[in-house]
Amino acid sequence: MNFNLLRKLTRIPWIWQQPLTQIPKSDSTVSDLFVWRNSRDWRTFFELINIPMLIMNKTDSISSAVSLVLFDCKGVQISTIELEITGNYRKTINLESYLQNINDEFGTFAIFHKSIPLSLKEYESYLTERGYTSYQYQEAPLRSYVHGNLDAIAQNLNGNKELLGCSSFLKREYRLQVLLTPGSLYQLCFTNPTKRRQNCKIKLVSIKNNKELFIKNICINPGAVNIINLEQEVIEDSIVIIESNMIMARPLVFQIQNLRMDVFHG
Amino acid sequence: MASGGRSKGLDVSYYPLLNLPDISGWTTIYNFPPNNWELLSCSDQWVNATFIHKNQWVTKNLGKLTANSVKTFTVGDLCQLASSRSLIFFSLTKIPNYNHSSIVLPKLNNHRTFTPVWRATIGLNSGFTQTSYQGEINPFPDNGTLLTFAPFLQYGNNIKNYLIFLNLEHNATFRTGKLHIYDANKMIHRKTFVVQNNSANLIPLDDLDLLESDLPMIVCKDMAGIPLYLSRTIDGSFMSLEHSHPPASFVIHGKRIEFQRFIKNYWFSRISK
Repeated sequence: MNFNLLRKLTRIPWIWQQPLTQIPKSDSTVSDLFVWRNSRDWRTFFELINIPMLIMNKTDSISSAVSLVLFDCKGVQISTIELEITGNYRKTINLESYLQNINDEFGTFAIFHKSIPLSLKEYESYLTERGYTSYQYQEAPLRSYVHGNLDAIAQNLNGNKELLGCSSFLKREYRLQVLLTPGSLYQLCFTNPTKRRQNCKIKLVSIKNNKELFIKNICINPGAVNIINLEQEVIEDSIVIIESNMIMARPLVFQIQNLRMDVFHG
Repeated sequence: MASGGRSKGLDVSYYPLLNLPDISGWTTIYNFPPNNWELLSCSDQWVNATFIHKNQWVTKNLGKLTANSVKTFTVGDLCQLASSRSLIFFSLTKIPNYNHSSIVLPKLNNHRTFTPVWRATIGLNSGFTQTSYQGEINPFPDNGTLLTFAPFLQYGNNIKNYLIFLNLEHNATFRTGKLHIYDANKMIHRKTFVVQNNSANLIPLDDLDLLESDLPMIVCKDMAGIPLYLSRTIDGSFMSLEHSHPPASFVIHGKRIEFQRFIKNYWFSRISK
């Protein structure tokens, strides 16, 4: 059998009816499920820009209204804050001010722009917020930025929300192309953009001999987030493999070393 | 010089080794796929360093990377390899000991994935701290353009902000273009910089009279590129590095490429008025 045909056939169970992001219901806008952290050591900021205005055309009437929706670490909605952004400015949102009475130290948030430019209909596309979150660790003079990369949740004009992540028929591995080295604390944040609870097996694997150094099983509710700490476990150069039914269980990674923090998408 | 090595289809992903004044670049290359279902197997691959020398893309083999292994390269490791003018781009190939020179980038036969794309860790080290992003660069067409919005500037004593405009094209020639920075709200032109292809152009962003509430718009009609933003304290004790998205990332599903063409035309026409 032709090798390419064989390859295509073997892929069918992995791709058939399993898009990374489902198509939302009409008249929706989409957002990533961004991670917020709020504690003595952590502050979270979001760079709000007026995306509808950036893509408007002459016939559009653009509202400047935006909903900031906060969820706790279990995926339960905490609050909705209505924000305005006029013109093509940058508005740095300090989430701390909206998390004053929340006991959780981390959770997720979504940003829904309320305007849907007419021009998007022509392209059969949905407006999505994949913007830029920054984190301040302790009293660092600089925040560390990371972009959104997952179109996780949609909200329609009536305010109804819908998680857009798809579940895989088969368990699949996401192998983080990041080298973990001893001496750093790694915090891996996993969000669940699907409508099902997701069981994830997180394996820390030695680069030298493929030995499993550490295994942790976690369960993440729809829309929830879980953070795994890896520090003492990283006794030698290692990688992380995540086994789950999520199409792409890509974590957000915080690396802390000598009181310096870096954040990036895995 | 090895013969062959070309494969049909998409371009090879390359992984740059950034090199900035006072800050050393490092790049970690991985020889394992990011998932377990797009490749039937993963084999040993060889790491190449590709750079421009005398109007040729010179590709040097740096050794074997066995399956499931990882290797980090620093500027210090490779400083003898390329002239200071040329940026080094790493790649992986299944062809042993591939050494090659040509006026266009070689299309190498290697393992590829799409969900996600096979990436490297591309980082900077100041001696006090390091910062990185997960990425790759595919060669841009030489008629490409850039439009992006960049809300990354950080303010404070002893903080400096830079744009690193990263470009890779097929042809081993250097050419220059103009990169413009505007205030996106008032469409006020702030400054124009000359940028070079096949390079990492370091552009200071602190003297453009941009306020914290201003949204910088970055435009280059002469070449496409990846816009990276570096913020650092002057002493190098803290750094942040991230890239901004192209306009297609404002939407999901549908005709995203056509949408990107529309939004670029819209903003480019506003500039030319």
